[in-house]
Amino acid sequence: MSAREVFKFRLYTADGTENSSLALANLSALCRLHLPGRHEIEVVDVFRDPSRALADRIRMTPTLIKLAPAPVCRIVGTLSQKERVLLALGLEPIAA
Amino acid sequence: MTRPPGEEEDSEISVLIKALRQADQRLEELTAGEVDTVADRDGRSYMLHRAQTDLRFNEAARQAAVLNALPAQVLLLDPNGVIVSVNEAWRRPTAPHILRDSTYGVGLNYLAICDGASGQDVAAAYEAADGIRAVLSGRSKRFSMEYRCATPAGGQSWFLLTATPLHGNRPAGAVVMHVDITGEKQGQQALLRFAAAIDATADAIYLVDRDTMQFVHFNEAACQMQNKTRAEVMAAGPHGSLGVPRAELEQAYDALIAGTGVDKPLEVRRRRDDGSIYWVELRRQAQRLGERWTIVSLVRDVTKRKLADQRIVQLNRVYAVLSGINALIVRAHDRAGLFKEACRIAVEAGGFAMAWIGILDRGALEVVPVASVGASEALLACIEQGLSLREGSATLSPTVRVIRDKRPAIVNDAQQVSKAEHGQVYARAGIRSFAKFPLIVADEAVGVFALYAEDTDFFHADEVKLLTELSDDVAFAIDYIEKQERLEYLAYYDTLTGLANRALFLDRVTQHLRAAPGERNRVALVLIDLERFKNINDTLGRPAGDELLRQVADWLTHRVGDASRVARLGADHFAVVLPGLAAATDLATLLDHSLKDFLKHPFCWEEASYRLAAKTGVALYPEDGTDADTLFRNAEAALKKAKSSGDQHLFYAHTMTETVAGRLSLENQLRQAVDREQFVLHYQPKVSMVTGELTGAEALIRWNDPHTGLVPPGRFIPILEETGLINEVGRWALCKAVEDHLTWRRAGLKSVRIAVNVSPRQLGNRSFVGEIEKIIGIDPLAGSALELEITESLIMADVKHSIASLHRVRAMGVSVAIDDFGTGFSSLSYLAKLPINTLKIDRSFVVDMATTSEALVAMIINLAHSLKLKVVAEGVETEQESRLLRALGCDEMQGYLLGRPVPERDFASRFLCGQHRAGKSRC
Repeated sequence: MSAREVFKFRLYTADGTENSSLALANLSALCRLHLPGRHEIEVVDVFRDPSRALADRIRMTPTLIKLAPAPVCRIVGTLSQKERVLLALGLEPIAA
Repeated sequence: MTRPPGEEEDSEISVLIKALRQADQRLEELTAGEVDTVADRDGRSYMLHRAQTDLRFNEAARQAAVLNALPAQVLLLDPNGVIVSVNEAWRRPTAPHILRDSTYGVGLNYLAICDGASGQDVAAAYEAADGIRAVLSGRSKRFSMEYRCATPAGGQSWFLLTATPLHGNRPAGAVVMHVDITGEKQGQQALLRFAAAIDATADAIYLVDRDTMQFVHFNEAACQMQNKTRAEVMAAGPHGSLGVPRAELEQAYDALIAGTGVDKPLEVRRRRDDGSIYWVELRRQAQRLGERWTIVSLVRDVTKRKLADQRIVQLNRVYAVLSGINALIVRAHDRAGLFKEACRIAVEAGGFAMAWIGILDRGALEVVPVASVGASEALLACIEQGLSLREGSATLSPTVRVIRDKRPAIVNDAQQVSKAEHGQVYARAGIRSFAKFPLIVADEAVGVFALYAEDTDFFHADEVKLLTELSDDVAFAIDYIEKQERLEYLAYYDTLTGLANRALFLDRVTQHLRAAPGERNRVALVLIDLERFKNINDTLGRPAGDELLRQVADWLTHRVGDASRVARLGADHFAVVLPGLAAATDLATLLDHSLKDFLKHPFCWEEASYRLAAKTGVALYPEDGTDADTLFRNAEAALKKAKSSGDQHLFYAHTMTETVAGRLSLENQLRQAVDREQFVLHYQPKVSMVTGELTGAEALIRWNDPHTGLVPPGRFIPILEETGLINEVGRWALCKAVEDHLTWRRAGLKSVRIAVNVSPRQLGNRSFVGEIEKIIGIDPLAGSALELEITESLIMADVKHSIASLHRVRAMGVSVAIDDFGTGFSSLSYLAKLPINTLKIDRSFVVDMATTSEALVAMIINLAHSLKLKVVAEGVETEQESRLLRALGCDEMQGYLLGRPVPERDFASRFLCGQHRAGKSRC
């Protein structure tokens, strides 16, 4: 994995709901710690933009899609279980 | 719904709700509570129940919090104008009003309330109702209005009412907001009143926004004071207008804001773009308008007051100069000091940038600056351009006008003077005004006093009056000093002749003595007494005597060449000081000649001429005294003695007198000897070393003094040389030699060449060759009669001239011999080029020949022969010398061995009759 690669995320949320807010907060924290300077997060509200949710076959919010680097993967939930999220994204946990 | 739901429906709904709840719980379980929404295949999202509850709660809480945090009173109206929500500010029992009352709660129609208004507020209420209707109906995107209402305290409040639709697209009600803008309103009104007021004042007022540092407003007076248009003032900005850096001004403003908000008044000197100066009093105040700070600067033109103050200061300065110069006049003793001091006082006490004084030179017709203080060279050069009074000088400069009109010239704006370049010079020197005052003595402008100030308009009537007084005082001082100088002149000068008197003369002698250290620099003090002058006064009268004395003074001055060395000490008593003399004998000669010339000089009175005789007494520094008084006393003693004796002049020291007298009498006698032909030529024979035959004669001059008999040449030749008599005597000798030769020839005697010595002065004389030509011109054979003997060193002194002269002499048939060969420093290369026939070996070599110089003599002889020159040995006295010379190949010889120099008659009888041999000549 190149250190230069930029991680592109798209987070589907339902605006104002608790889990969606939590997921956005967790994602932001993770990116700050593990991907400083090399991440992009796009937030899509399923109520405002239902057509995009349909196109991405989003069945639940919050759902995170990692668009790049390949392979594309999706994670549903608040992203609270950090180790599992990192593993799913292909990132090494940082030893404390 | 028109009728209440029935029981069936009721139970059906209950079942459905139950099913929904179960479905929801199942979804929660499936998603572990981590999702908020689920979507079906068509993309329709369903929010889970928990999320919906959260969201509703959160949203409502947030909106309520936002609304309640607003200080404005907010109403939410439904599309019909019914109040659906109010915020806390609305519910607060503040100022009740027809448009805004805490009792108007949810459920009332706000439009109806407005429509039903009465009293004072009816107009505002109707306006509000119309505006809100327009927003509710979608006709208008926004409505706002300001309205006024009375406060319970009896004052007035201002509100801003705004109505905005709740949804952008479809009218779904409106938000109506009342904002209290009383503070702003008051500020605005204050500002408006302020603006009106400030335009009516004469003071310049500026409003500056602290944040932008730009003018918010300034009044008309501000433009007038700066002499700028409104646009120019605006463009310059606050720091530009003040001419200070922006940061500095910001600091001043911040200090003002941080402090009491009010500055102490400042007085500031300002310069307009056109250079004019004005004074302002500056007051600043910081005012808060809303969130912003505004600096109010009040600027009052205090130029008039300031000028009045300044005038007092200026006048005081001028008074200071006046009193300083008055004090100066009392103590000034010479003009140079007076002028320099007057300028210094003007600059130091008067604060003038510069001052100069010029005096009119009536001869050159121009003003000559004699003193200046504070002037730069550029400025002086500029001033000096305008000092000539001659016609044709371009425009009349102020200086010239001052002299001509005898009136002051005032220029109160120097940079506007006619000549642009002068203006620039003044600008560079920081001069903004100047004035020139005539210095008037006896109704004539004798000079100019010029003063330069750094301020424009310095010279007002009061200053001019005082400075005119001052110039009169300076003129008075000039007059006073001139009179004083005249008195001093009387004290130091002889009024009849203008020569120094005794006091001044002694002073000058002292100065010469101080400047003349060392033996080689003698100073002579000569006292002169006119003989029998009293007779002239008695017989011709006093006027004639005075006139002749003046002529004597002129004669002496001319003779000495320097009036400062001559003095008149008494009626017929003069004195001369002669510094820098090398030797006393020079002086004796000089005196002797001078006295003779004096005797010969015709002094005139009424077409008759008179000869005057004088006697002198001389004292010499350092021999006869080392101070003026001693020298003077001793010179007087010498003069006294001279008067009682027959001597024309006497030195104080007897030996000096004697030496000088002896020499002088010899000189006089020699002159007489020339006149009376007391010189004679003696001849000494030259013979051939080979044959012993007579080959020539050397003519030697003798002076036959009738008193003392024959005088040897060593005693008088040097004097002849010094006096120049040698030319005359030398010429005579040449003539005499030629004459004798021709006489011998005519008498049938053996006619040998006669060698005649030529002196340095003769050879140096440019007419020498011409004289020889003339002398031998009397007879064709005369050329073969002569040989010129010239010393080696004399020829070498000016080789080129000598060679040229000798070539011409030789061309006439005259032969040339080098005398005293070996004693000078001949250059061999020149010796070869010299047109000579003979070398004469100096006697000293001949004398030493037996002991040391034989080789030298041999060398000279060889050298001469190699140059094809004849060699003659001089001073041969012994047979041994003669033998040696013959052995060395010397051609001829002369000396006592052959015969001493004898008179012509003896020579002719002893050596020219028949054959003579060297050996026999001794008999």
